[in-house]
Amino acid sequence: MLDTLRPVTTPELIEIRLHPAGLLPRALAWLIDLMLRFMLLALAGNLFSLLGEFGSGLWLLLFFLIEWFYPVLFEVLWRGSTPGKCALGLLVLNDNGTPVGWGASLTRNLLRTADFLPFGYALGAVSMLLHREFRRLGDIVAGTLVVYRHTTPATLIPTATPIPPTAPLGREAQRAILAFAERAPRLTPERQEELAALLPTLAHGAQPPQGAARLLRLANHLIGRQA
Amino acid sequence: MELERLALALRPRSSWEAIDLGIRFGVANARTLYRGYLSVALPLALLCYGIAALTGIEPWWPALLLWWLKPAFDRVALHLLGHAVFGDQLGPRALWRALPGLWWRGGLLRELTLARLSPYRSTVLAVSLLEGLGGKAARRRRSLILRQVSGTALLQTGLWPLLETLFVLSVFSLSLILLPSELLEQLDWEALWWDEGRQYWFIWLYYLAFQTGSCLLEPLYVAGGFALYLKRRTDLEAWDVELQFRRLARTLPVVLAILLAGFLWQSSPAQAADSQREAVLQQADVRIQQILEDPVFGETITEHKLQKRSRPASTDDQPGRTWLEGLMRWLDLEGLGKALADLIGFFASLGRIIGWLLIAVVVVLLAWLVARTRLPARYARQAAPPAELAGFDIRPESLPDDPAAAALLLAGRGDLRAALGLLFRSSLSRLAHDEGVRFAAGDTEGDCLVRVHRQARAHAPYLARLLGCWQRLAYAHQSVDIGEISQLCEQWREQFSVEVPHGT
Repeated sequence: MLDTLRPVTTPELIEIRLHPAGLLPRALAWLIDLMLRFMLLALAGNLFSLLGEFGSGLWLLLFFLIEWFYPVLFEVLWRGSTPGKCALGLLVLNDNGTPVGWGASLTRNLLRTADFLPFGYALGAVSMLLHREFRRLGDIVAGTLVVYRHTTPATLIPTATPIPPTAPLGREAQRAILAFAERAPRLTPERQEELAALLPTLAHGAQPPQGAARLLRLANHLIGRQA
Repeated sequence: MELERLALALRPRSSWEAIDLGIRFGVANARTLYRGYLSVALPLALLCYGIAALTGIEPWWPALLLWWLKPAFDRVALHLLGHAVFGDQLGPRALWRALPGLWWRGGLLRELTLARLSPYRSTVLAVSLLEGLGGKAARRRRSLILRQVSGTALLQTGLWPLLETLFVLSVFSLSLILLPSELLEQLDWEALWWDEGRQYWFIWLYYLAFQTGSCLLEPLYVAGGFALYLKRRTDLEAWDVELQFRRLARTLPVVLAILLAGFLWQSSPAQAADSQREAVLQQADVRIQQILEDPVFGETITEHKLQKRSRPASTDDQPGRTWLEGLMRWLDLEGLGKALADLIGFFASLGRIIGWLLIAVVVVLLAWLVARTRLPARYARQAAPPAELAGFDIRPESLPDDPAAAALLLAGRGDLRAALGLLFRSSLSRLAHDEGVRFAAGDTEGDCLVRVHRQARAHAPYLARLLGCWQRLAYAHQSVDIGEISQLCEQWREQFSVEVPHGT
């Protein structure tokens, strides 16, 4: 079963799943950042040109600082995201899930020179295509990971009169019923019944609510809603 | 469709995550994918460029043609991916056999004409190829599939040409890095490309790089679009829930059947057990007699068991007792057992006494602690009073035998300050050493008064008066009547009357 997740176990033995982001969204984020930097430098160029040669010196300094430290500053001080990454809902983390620090961020961004080779991040792109967690060389060296901040919107289970199950349910069964209830509002009624028919032992009982309606009411019981 | 054979993990995903998964899947199945794709695309590309080279057509004509024909190759890639998703790794032979069907199946014409420039083509390709829909139904289906992912699908289609360009530029940059600099100096870059003196080998090289990049990246683009399509199907039809339900349905009936069986058959086994028990009980007496007639039970043995007197029934399962019992049975020493039982009883009562003693000690300790903090000073244990208090030496040995007389003498000589100082000093000394007022080393005169007020209330008014007098004289430099001082001296004797005989 192929998936793009990276499971991380915290010291408290809680497993969390990071969602690494691949080549395309990251390339898009980089393009957005590129345009932002370009606009910033163009604006600064216009302003500094009033100062003559001193201005162009200042501009070169600014160019140096922005080229090298724009990602670092944003990643460390702005919750792991440059504006481009933020627009795509991405952020940089250490590969154990902790926020990225100065050292790791500096490493991964200084190594952009390596990823850039031979032109336009070609090496980085190849690395991201081949790596299981979509890491470019800088990420591999710094032990960092670019992940999605939010993956799926939170869903609400529709309200129904809760009924208890006739027999105690295992964790898998509970999870399946809750997953069904979360998805039910976006399914057609026919599809809901089709799915419910797969679980006749749970979806059909002695009393009237049968099929999908019964599963929904079970889900309401499972999340502790009161009648 | 058999979802259980799906090689991709099904879960709700964001659109970008789905594309990532698709590309990852394409790379993971690179062998099958590229072998199949190139087995179709390479011969065609060679054919096109070959004809162009032989007839002297500009090479951008075959490049344009191949670019325009991309949807036809996309179908090949999607066919391979669609099989790979269910674990079938199609070889070139199977692919070639399916090829006519792939291309003649409805939709290719539309994809090559009307929809050629559609930015959604890789996402909706599955509608015509895998679902086999056409006409109005296909249009409705496409709009449904694209409903929430159209933005991402569009951006994806926009990004791949950039990546293709990047590939070409990277190839040329790499060769520039690797070529010897002497060779580079001889090249006239502008002349290579533009009309006068242009070099055909260079242009052909460029198209080679372009075509290679296109062939390498196109299958991944199709894979990304396919994953987006799968994401939409998963969202629309809750494939992940279906998979969960199917897995559950395989385990759940077993569990429920066991529960139900238990429930249904509970009553009758219980009845059966009851009747059996009755029968056994009726035969019990006879059985016991039969067993006792065995020679093993021929003699009477008296056993002594160690039991807790208050609760004999519950001691049966104590391991310590059973081994002791076994040992005694083995030794067959009744007297020893009895003595041992007495001994243990003795230790038990000893333990009880010690317990009570411990409780008593704790109670006494508590009482002492309460007394120390709550009771007046004289009952509590005293720390040694400080030698110096508020700047005065209050050790008893530093005082004259009769401080009142000495003070009166000093006052008579006119040294009022020394007289009052001596009086105050000796008062504090008596209070500290005889009355048990617990002064602290750092107390000021005011603190001393407060403590006396709390711990030796009887002396407080006198001390207050004395202190007032002293403060007026020593700090405020007011004159103090000598009569008042002699009065204070006399009162001193009354206040600390116990000490008067000692003084005289």
